[in-house]
Amino acid sequence: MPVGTCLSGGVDSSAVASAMAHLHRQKGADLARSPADWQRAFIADFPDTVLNERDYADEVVRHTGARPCYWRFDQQEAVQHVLDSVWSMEDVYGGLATPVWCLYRELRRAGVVVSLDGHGADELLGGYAWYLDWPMTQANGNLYRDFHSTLLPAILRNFDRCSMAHGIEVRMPFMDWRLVTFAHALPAESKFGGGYTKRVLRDAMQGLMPDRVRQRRFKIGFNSPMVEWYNGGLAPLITRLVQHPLWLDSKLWDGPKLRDAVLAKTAARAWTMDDWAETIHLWTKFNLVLWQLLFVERSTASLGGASFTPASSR
Amino acid sequence: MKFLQLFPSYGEYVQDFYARHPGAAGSAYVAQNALLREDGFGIVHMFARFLGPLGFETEIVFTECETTQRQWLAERGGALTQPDNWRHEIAAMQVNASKPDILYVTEPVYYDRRFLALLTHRPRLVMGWKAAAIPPGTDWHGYDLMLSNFKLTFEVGPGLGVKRVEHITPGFPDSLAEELPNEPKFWDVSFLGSISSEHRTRTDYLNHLAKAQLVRENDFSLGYFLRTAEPDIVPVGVAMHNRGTRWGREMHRILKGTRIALNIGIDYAKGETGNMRMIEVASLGTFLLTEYQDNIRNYFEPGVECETFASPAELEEKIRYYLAHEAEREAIARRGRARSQRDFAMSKSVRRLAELIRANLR
Repeated sequence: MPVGTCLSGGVDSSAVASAMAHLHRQKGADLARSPADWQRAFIADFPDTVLNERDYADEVVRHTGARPCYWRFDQQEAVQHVLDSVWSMEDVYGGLATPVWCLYRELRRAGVVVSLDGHGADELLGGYAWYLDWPMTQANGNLYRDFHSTLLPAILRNFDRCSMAHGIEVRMPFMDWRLVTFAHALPAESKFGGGYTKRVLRDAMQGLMPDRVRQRRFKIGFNSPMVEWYNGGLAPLITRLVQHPLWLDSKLWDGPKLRDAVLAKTAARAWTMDDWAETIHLWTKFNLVLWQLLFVERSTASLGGASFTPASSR
Repeated sequence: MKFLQLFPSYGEYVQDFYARHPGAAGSAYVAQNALLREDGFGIVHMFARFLGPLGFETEIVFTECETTQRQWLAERGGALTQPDNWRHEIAAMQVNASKPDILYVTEPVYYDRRFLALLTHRPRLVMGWKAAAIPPGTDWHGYDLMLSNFKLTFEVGPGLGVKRVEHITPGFPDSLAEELPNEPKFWDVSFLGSISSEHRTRTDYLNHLAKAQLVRENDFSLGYFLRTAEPDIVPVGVAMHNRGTRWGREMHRILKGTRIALNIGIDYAKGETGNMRMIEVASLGTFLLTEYQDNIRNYFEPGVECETFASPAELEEKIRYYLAHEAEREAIARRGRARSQRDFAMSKSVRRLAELIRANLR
């Protein structure tokens, strides 16, 4: 059975891909459980957006000798699958998982149904920017909480839903219990030190992956390019959503006021990176409306437009 | 005329000093004292090293330096009457034995009236230096003169008992920049100093830069060299860049080897700057990026001899700009150095000190 990997070009997924290549280059390595077809790297390409990491991912491809398969984000094509991703999530998600949903679809299309992904490293070894606000003396305790109880379980659930929407089994090398117990026993300085987050991982991978990727500090999550999308292909859906009765009559927010603000900014294509947090918060509200339509009313006809129908109900 | 300076040392510095000089602890007092003098820790305040050419006989006593001070005591067969108060007692014995005309106390809060009361020798002039917060209970009766470049000292000093407060700026030794090796710059941005509950603003700025590297492309190397006596308040972003404290010559080597050296004051400074870091950075020919304070022009002209920031966003923006514009950065650094050599040279400071001594000597 072929095994693939979702490669973003960030440290974690690149470490997984590079470790796979390293093992296969080792003379005498026990590869009994490794399939012959293991060199498939699935890369989400976001041209002309802030999420574009293609350059880093390609460097890892060259280093590992992997066979790349690109899913290129196209605003008009991707918007066709917004409702698919909401449907797959089954609950009100605080983001827009369409690219994740689409990338796992590429695996299925390529006949790859197992993906080794980099999930867990950020929560195990400390990868997020907001972790830098914690007092160092509380870092290990907070990581333990995020890993076991709060952040990571939610992320795993979301990726599980997007992958299983296509029957893809995701496995996470960073969540091997031996690595997890080892990492939780390390002092915080092993995770945050030498000028780096995830320090022990970067140190351990020295010589095994491209240094340019290993020493990257700039971190991009696997998100949707919200700002560019709000200003472009997502605008018709947003325009319909903020005028929908479920939006306007919501008891949770001021529908008419938000409608006016969103319509004005969207019509002017005035969303900027300074609005990133706002686009995410808004999308959580949009998700609530979409979830109500999909799972309670079981019809999106009131949104108008055939293109907003989830594939599963087409 | 004999000038004796009591010069305080941080405990961590003393530990570091003896670790770097493994044979020093068992050597004679004179040898230890000479090594400490040459080590360069706090050199901008070490007037006694530079007053000789102006006709003074000088001596430095390193306080808070137990190994050296107990060596001094042992060589003289002395004994302590108050072992718990060894700092005051040995320092007082050293002053009494030295019999200076001028006693200059670089840390007059711990060495206030309670210390002066232990002196059997009364110098003709007792003076101190203070340019930081003054804790409640400080008593400066017995001090003839307090030196400072900090407004608060002028405001509260007389009420604490000192007879006069005069302005002086510690100076940077003219030759020090040349004595350091000319190495390629090895840090893009650095900061050297302390983190404590009195440095909340500084902590926030430093942590902002650490986070900026994760959320924006265009990386830069960031070296923090910090004293952190309160680990519970040090955020991850600051801690992960902290390479540990550096002292004296090594501190100056790092400042010289940095493209952009930061200066961020202590919280209670409230609009006033004047710390020695600014002068050290500029004197070493390094680009100074300092927190904006109302009196910055008393030291350097923003945009000409240094650059300033007033918010985390402005700090980040100016770092990125000046890393990308080397010629502008180096021109400002050169003008900053020229200003420093003109106005904040040690030779100028000790001339001012000599004038103040002569004007206030009983």
